[in-house]
Amino acid sequence: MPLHTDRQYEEDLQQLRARVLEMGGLVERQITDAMVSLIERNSPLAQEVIERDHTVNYLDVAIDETSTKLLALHQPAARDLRFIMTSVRISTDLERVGDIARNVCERALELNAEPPLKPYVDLPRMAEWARSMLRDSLDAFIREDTELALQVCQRDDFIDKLTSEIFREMLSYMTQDPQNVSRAVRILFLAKYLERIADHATNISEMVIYMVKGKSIRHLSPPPASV
Amino acid sequence: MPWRNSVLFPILLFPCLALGALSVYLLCSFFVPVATLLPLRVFAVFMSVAAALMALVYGRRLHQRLQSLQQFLDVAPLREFPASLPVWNEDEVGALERGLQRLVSRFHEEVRASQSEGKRLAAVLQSMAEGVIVIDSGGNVILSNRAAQDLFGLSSAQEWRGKPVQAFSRHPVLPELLREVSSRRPGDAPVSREFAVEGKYHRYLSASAMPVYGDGSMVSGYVLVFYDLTQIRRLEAVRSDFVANVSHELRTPLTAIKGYAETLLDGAFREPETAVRFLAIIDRHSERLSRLIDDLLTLSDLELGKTDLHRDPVILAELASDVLDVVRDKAERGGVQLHHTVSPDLPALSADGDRLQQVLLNVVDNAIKYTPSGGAVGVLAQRVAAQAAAVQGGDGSETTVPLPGEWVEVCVTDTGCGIPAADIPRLTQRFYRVDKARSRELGGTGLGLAIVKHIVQAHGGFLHIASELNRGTTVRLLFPLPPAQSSTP
Repeated sequence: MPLHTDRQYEEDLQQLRARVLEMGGLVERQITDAMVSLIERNSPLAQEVIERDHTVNYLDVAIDETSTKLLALHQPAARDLRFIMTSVRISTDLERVGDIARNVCERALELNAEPPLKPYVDLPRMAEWARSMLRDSLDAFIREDTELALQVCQRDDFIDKLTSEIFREMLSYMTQDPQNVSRAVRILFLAKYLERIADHATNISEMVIYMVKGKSIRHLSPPPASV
Repeated sequence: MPWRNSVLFPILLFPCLALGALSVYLLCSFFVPVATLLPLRVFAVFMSVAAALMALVYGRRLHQRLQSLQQFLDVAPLREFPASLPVWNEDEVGALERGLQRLVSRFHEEVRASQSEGKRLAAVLQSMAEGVIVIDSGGNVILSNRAAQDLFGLSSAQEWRGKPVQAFSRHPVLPELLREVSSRRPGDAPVSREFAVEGKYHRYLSASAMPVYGDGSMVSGYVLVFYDLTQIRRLEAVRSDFVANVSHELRTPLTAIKGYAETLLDGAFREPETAVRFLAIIDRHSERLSRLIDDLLTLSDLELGKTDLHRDPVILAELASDVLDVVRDKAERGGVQLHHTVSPDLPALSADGDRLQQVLLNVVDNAIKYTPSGGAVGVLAQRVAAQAAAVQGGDGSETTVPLPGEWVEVCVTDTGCGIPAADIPRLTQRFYRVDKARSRELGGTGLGLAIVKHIVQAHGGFLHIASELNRGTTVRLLFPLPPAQSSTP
């Protein structure tokens, strides 16, 4: 970030970045804890995650306010403008991921109330994959590393593959015994949630590339090999 | 300063000379006849010109001195070593030159001192095992050492100064920690938190934060120190596993003893036949209990390195036949054939005979236990040349190390049930059993191979186990032969 002569402006930009990153860290932990609550059938932890979601929402609002203030008072241009726009969009994505963590916990609470259908194998793998994508996209944001960001965009396929695998597996459980249906549907929801996390991570990475290079690679399929 | 040395002296001298000559000429022009005026006039002009010339020379000289002084001031602070400034004259300018010279060399000394201080601090910081990150009040990294970069899996080649602290970790504990510490007063103890780092490197860390105070009591930044607790946590887990295992192993025979004793007390002692049977069971279990405690004590002595080896020359042929004599009875009962081959050129091994016997007895006893009736157990001892051995590391991974020199190899081969490949790396762990029910039924404590491994390692040797399911197992013990010994046949 280039230095500005205006001290207040500089401080506001730094505060904005710190808030986005704090929100990122919080959301990463929300996902981790949500998955732990599901796999270890830890309902109190799930409750805790649901209650913590309002902190994420609060940060989202705070980021919006800071950005609006910056835009209105300083009319930033070029790189700073892109940074502020990226921050706003990342916070929206992160807020959605926070909601997903909350949804995971709600499903976990429902699933924990019933006997386990099967040990979770693919879901933890998916969660780990999605979380690593989110982690790398935020790392790319901090380091302004477009290569890492691009790599995140290209990692989305594996998640889609796992989702369809889980779908087939759950389908077979449901056809076996109607008793399984309610649990299998919830597990399918979970798979969908995790897939959405990966999508949000991809969005964040795309915004990082926009922020650094000033070039939008959104809605390009497949993602370009280089920027 | 003497008056002659002052700059004022020549400055006043030259105009005075010129003025003097002129006034002499003017005075004389009133009183002396015109004819004699000419030499006076020449003298006055000559004096004036001489004074002007001298003033010019002196002025130039002064100008040069001041110029070189200015150049010196321009250059000196940039140079690594203090430049010297020649002192031309002991006047005011000369004093100025000396003073500046002193000032500049003082400045260089200070710079050098602070540079070496900085280098020393940097060396201390970089060689610390704890990760240190210094950030400013805006959360940007001012300083980070290598350990910090390693802890968070970051490359140390990259420049991390100026990056936000979240580049290291975005764990929500850190902002909490900073918020808490920022409300502290100077002199308070640092605040610490423990947290787990996810990602490529799964680690338990303890972070402690201290504010750095700038002017007054304004917080100008924070120092974050990270300790790696991963190893400690792992050791704690191993210890509590061990305690759990020991308690379990101790309780099993104890439950049996207590159960049968209670039955006896409840009246079974009145039936002599049952009573004898029960007492035999109690006896067997108390035997097991004492064996377990013996093994535990041996193992703990070995692990603490408290056991001294009483090295004597050991003839392996004698040792092997002694051991086989001990187990022959048991082998015959189990229908297992025993045979041993000790190559005749084998030199005496410098080792602790009792310990070695314990090792061999343990391995042969195991072999007999797991070999069904009709099978065979063989002991083969021979010299082997330099070779490579697969060594099991502490974490169960195998690395191949070259073993130079000559070795004595003792192989115990059986035709028993074999060991699944997945279990082989864990065989020498305490209380590890491939088939839990079966091992206990055969009277094992689960500590035998751990003891064997420790004794062999204390002798500088290696233990290697190879096995094929339902075909048999080969346990190889390798002991080093010192170079002097390997030359005698």
